[in-house]
Amino acid sequence: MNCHSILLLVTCVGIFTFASNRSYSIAQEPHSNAISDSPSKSIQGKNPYQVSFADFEWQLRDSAPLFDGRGGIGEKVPTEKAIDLFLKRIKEDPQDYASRTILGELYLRQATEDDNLASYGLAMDALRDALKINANHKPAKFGMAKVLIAQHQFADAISLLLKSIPDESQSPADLALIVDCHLDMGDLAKAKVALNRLAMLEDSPPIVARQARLAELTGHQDEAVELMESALRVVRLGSADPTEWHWYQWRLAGLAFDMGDLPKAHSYVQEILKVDPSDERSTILLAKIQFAKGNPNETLDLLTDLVTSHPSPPTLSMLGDLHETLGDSKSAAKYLDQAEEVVREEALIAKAAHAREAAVFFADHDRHLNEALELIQIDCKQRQDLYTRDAHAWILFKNNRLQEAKAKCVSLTELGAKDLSCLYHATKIHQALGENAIAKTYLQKIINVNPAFSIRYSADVARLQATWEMQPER
Amino acid sequence: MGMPWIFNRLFTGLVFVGLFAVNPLLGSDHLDSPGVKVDGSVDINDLYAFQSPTNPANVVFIITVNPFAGVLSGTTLNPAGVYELNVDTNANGTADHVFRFYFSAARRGVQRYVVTRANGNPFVSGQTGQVTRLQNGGSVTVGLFEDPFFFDLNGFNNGFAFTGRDFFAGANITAIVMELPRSTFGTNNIGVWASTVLQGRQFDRKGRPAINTVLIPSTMKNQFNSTQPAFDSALFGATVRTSLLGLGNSPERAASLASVLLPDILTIDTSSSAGFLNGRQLANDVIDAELSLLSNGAVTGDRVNANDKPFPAQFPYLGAPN
Repeated sequence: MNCHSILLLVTCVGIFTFASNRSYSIAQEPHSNAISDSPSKSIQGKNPYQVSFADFEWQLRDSAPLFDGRGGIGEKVPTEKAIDLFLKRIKEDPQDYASRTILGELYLRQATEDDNLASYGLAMDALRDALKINANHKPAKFGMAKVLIAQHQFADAISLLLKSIPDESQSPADLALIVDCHLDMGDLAKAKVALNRLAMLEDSPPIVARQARLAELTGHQDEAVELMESALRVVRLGSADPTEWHWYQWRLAGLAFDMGDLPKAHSYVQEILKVDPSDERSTILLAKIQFAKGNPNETLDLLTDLVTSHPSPPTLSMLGDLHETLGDSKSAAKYLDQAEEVVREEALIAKAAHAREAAVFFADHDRHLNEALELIQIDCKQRQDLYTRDAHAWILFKNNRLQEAKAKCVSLTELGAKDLSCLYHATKIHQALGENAIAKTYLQKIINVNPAFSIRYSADVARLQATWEMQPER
Repeated sequence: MGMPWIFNRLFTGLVFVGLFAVNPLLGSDHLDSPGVKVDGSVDINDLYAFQSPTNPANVVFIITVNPFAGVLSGTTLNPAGVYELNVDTNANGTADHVFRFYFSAARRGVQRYVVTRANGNPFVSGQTGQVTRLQNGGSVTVGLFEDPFFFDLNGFNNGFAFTGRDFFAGANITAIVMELPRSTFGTNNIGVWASTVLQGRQFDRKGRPAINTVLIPSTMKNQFNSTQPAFDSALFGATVRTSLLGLGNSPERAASLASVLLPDILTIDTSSSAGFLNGRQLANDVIDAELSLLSNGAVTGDRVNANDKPFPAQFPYLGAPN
């Protein structure tokens, strides 16, 4: 199958084909949508760049019959087909490094779309091959930086980007990657500087989303919500495809959950699941929301359904934890064993990219605690952000290295008093050291926001709350 | 396919990022922020202007966007963007006629649009995938088409070691095609450029092929794209002369060429059926012409002499998408 026929299959029916079949095509109805000049219909006096199609829509309501959905625009070539197309181009011309670069980008897209970790390796191979032919091909270097980030080699990625692309040439896309690296490495000051430069170049939703992330990481949750809401508004305006809104809605749901606003969180995930009932991360979040609302049976139903289609470590782990909470230790062990198996598989393929996740899973479930320590040390070499330090502290605590855990423990000030998992870890570390007064300050924050934030730890939070006779502060 | 951004991305260094709207950057514990993308929907690939082959009383304008539509770019027009066709009728570098296209969001494979004149009055409305015939004899359509551009891009980037392989064979673009009576402009001699505006800022512009791509250094491309042609000579004259010197032109020839190439406006005598440099027809081998012109004859062509698909003889003159 040649390139053209592939694209023919996967893009659209020829525009002429359907235009000639329509009753409003040239031959049948030559003046169908033409509208004459009329001051009453104009946007005279308005800035033409602050006008959109919606400003005219009222007068067009009866004019243009809607297309019936055949072909047309808005469709994309499926990634697998696009990969085939570029593989063919490379076969025809092995020296075509531009096509090799595009192929690398397509493998990267496949990896993220399908969660296919092996595709990262293929992406890197394609990009390396491109650079073997043209060592100065910057797009290939940029693609490699993205793969390095995917593999959590943040320092290498940022070094590659800064070496390849001088400051004055950095595009918003370059800067966004640099911001991502700094955010992941926990270097918030540098992230802020790069983000400010980025915002001067562009204020699109992806950039506003990064501003929101920075606000969140510095404890400004309300600002993060405002920013995400504004980003979502723009995304809605720019696309009628609700699936393009989902990431923003999911982020807003997560922020609302972390702030204890369960109704709002619930509303956002429901909007997503109405359109895409198979959305895994929204279902996981809905399960957490239901649990926090005191509906463990609904949580159980959601996770049991989800685990059949998405047996991923978070789902398996949460389901195991839920069974344990509900007193079914046999089922709990079954799902947790499965989770461990998948965590190990992923860690094998993705190496450092899954080290922290695996380490925290082991620590949470008191499994392989020495290995957890080794894994988190691998992650520490890649980044020193808040979450890695918190995980390190938690794993040291589980290994009964309390003073070291305390030294790593993320402080209330750093946390902006918002991340409940980190607060819980700090509570337990200080409690174990007999520092109950400090432990209580952390626990109080959890009680105030959302004591049922975690399926695994909510019972312990309730127990501590009762032991220390603490109440939510209003 | 279009010179400026595709060159920038594939050749001189900047990159297509975020192939589509959301390009999560993985990692098991990442928040997967959407990728910041070069927005292909407002990235002007090419501008064509030529006397209508079916009706010499008309002139045809074609603006193409979305490089490698459906693969590297999306296929839609940006509902938050404004697409402008600018026409200068008195050679002063400012637009005397402006046609602005506004698009709805895509629903079920279609986008609706309205075109206004400079005064804000609606001129025509329609929807993608259809041809709308104007009462004065013109036509408008917007849709997905085969990419009319042809060029050995890898050869160009490989020190002019051309192999004659059309990099854009098999690619699609999204195009705005408008055929208007020549009488619309009150003169046969007009200058044309296309521009896109996003969030109130001019994102891209295009007159003649390859001016920005070849003659404007990467550090100045954004500035070039965001300014008006009327300021080209003042802002970029010296830069273009320097680039031309670097391409082997004498100082005198560089100065002379710069004065012709700036402002970056595609000029056309609409009473003539001739092609490039009189406007630009779809089949014109502009790469050969420009390589020869800019290098003072040192490089004569890329060995790709025609598009990979024939062009239809009837409106909208572009081939069906691959």
